[in-house]
Amino acid sequence: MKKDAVRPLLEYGKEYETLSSLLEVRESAFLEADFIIESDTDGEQAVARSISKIVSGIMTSFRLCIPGASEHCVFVGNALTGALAAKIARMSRTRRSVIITDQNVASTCLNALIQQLQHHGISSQNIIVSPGESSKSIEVYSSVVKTLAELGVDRDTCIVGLGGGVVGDLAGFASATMLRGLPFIQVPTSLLSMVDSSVGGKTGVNLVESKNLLGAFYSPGAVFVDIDYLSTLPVRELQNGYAEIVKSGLLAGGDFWTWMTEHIGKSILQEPEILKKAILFSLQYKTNVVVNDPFERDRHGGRMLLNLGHTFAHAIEAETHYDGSVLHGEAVSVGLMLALQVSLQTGVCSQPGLLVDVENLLKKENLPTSLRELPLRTSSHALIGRFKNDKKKSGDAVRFVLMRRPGHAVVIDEVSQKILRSVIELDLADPLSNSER
Amino acid sequence: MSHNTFGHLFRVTTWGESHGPAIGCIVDGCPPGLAMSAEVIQPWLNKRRPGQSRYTSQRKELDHVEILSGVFEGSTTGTPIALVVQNSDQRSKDYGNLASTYRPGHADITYDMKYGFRDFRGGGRSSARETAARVAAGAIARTVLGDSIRIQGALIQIGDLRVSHTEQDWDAAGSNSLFCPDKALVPRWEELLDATRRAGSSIGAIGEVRVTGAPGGWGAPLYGKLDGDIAAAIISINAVKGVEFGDGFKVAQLTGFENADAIYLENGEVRFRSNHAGGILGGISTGSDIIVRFAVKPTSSILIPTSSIKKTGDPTNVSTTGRHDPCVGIRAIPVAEAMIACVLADHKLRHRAQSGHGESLLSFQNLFEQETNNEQYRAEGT
Repeated sequence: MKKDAVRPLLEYGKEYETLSSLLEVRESAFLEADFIIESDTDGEQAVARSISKIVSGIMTSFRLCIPGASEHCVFVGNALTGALAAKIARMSRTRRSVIITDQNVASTCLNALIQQLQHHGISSQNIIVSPGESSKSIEVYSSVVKTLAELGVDRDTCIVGLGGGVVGDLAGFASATMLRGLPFIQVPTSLLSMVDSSVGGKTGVNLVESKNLLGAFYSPGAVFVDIDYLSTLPVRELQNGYAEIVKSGLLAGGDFWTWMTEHIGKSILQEPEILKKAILFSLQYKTNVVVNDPFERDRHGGRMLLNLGHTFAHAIEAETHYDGSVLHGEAVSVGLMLALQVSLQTGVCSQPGLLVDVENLLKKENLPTSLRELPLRTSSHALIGRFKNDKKKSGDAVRFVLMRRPGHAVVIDEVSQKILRSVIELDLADPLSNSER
Repeated sequence: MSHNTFGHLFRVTTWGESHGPAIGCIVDGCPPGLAMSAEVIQPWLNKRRPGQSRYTSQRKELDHVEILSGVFEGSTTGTPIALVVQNSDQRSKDYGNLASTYRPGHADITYDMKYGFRDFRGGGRSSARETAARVAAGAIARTVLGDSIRIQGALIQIGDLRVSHTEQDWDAAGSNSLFCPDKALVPRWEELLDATRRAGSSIGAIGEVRVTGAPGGWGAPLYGKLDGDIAAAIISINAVKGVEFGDGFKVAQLTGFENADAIYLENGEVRFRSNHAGGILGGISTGSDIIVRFAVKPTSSILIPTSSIKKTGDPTNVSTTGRHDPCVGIRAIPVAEAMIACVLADHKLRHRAQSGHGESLLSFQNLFEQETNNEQYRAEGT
C-alpha cells in the first residue's frame, strides 16, 4: 500500500458506520472461521504469536462440506494443541471441555493435554473408560452420559474424544445424544482412528447382536490428527491402522496405489516421513468419499466401498467374540486378502498379481494374510453364518465389495455361497498338505 | 485312425488312458546292444511325477515302469521294447455334469465335433497321464543319443515374470521343483503361483529346451525338417500353443545382417559367432546348441465360473471343483525334453541310414592337422 494513499473505507468521521455495515454483511462468513484471535488489547507482536501458535503445527487440512451438517476441517500436523485450544475456544464461549478417553491414552497423554489446554485458558474435566472394544457398549455409554449429566454439562461444553476408534465412536455417540447434541472434537491417537474412524461422522456402540448396531451420523466440529501421538503407540497398534491404509490405497488407485506399490518391500511404518505421506493420502481419499456420500446412501458406491474386506473382518471379529485376540486391523488385513480372492474367483478381477502385491504390503508390516495365521478356529460354515448378521446385508443376499482393479471397486449384491466356501476352504487349507485338491 | 505313433526309424507308439488300468508305449527301431533296464528309465519318470512340488497337481502317481519286451540280459535286442506303467491313482470320481457340459478351454466340444461322442472320464487319451509313456520312451532315446548329447529343459517364464538374461544356472534348474534356472526368481514365482492358486485361476508359462552336443547334419530339407519334427512333437504335448527356435518370433524385428550367424573355423571345427538360428538351418542341425522354446496355456480347469453350453444347447456356467494345477507348464518341461530326445534319436538313425554316418560330413580336420603340422615344423625349424 502506498503511504500517501487515501483509504476511502476509513474516511474520517464515517469509520464506525462503514465498519458496522460491513460487519453485518460479512459476519456470517467470519463465523465460519475455524479460529478467532482477539486483537483489541495486545500488540501486533502478540497477535502474530497467537497466530503462529495455532498454525505452526498444521501441515495440511481437509475441509468437509456435508450438506445438512456443519462444515468442518480435518487438521493434520504435529503439536496441534495450540490449534485445538483455539478451536475449543471457538466452540465453547465458556472455554469448557470434557475429555473422554481410555486408561491407556490417559496414562500417556491426558495430563500433558490438560495442562496445555489450561495454559491456553481452557478448563477441562475428563471421563476415563476401560480400553478395548468392550467399552463400545450400551452399559459404558450410559455411564458416560450419566457422568456428563453429573458434571453438569451444557450445550456450550465441548466434548473432546481423545483416543482410538472405540473412544471416538463412544464419545461421538455421547455427544450426539447428550442434550440432543454437544459440540464435539475428535482427537484420534491411534493410526487406525487417524486414517479411518475419526473422519466421516459415524458414531455408535455395539449391541450383543452385532457391531455398530446403535449409532448416529454426527459430524465433529473438527478433527485434529496430531501425528505426535503415534510415537506413544505400540508397534502392533501401528500395524493395526496400516491395514486400513492398504485398503484405502487399493480403493483409491491412481497416485496413492502407485506410491504404495513403490514401497513394497520397504517399511512404511518405520519411516515417519513416509508414514505421514501415507496418512495424508488416506485422509485425502477418505474425506473425498465421505463428502460425496456422507450418509452411506449410495448402495453401489460411495462409503459402501470403504467396507472392502470388512464383511470378512466383521465375521472374524464376531468369531473371536470381541475378546481382543484379533485386532480390527488384523481382521481387515485377512479380510482384504479374502475379498481379493473372492474378486478373483468370481472373475471380477483377473490379476492374481494384485493378490501378490497386497500380500507383500501387508506381510511387510507383519500383518496376517490368511485365516490360518489368526489365533482362531473357524470354518467356512461358521464365517458364512456370520455374514448374515452383517449390517451391509440387504434382504437375504450378502453384499460384497470386490475389486476389479486398483481404484475400481464394485458392490456385488449376491456372491454365491459356493465361491465363498471355496475361498475360505482354500485359505484354511495348508498349502503344503496333499489333501487340498 | 492311427494317430498314436511318431518317428520313422525310432518309432514310438503310446497307449492307455488316465482311468484305465495302465498306460505305456512301444518303442520300435531301437538299435540292439544298448545297455537298458528299468533303472535307466525310472529316474526320468520320477522327475516328471506330479507331487514334486505344491504347485503341480498332488495326485499320488507312483509311475513304476516295467519292461515287457525287447531287453535281454540288460541289453536292447533290437526288437520292440514294450514299457508299461500301472495307474495306481485311478480314484473313482464323481464326473457329475462333465458328460453333459462343454468345459471352456477343454477339447470336450471339439471331441464331440469330431467323434460325436466322448469318454468323459478324466481327459482320456489327452490326459496329462499319457505323458508318462512319452517320458519313458524319451529315456530310451537318450540312451540311443549317448552321453555326449545333453538335453536340458527349464521353465523360463510364468505369467509375465521371465528369468533374467544374465542370472541363469541351467544345472540348478533340474534341482528345483519349478525347473527355474534363475534362483532369485523362484520366490517370486512361488508367490505368483500361490496367489493364482488362491484366485482359483491358472497361469501360462514358457519352457525352453537346449540341446548341446548334437552334431551338424541331422534332419532333412522340406518334409523331414528337424525343426519341423521337433515342433510337431512339442505341439503334441497337452496345452502347448506355440513353438519357436532360436530367436523365434523375434526374427521379425531383425535385419538380415543382425540375424546372420557368422561362420569361422576353430581347430578345424565349424563354429558360429552367434546362434539366432537356434542350431538349425534349412531343417538340418548346425552343431550349435538347438534352442527350442514353447508356450503353454494356463490350465483350463479353473474355479472361476465361465459361461458355456450344455449338450442340449442350454446355457450354463462351468467351474471346476477340487484339485487343479495353477500352472500346467511346470509339468511340461520333462515331457518336452523326452519328446525332443525321441525326435533326435530318430533323426540320428535316419542320418546314419541315409548318409552312413552319425556325425557331420563336413570336416576341416585335414586342414587343421596340416596347419598344426606346419606350425610344429616351423617351431622345430627355429
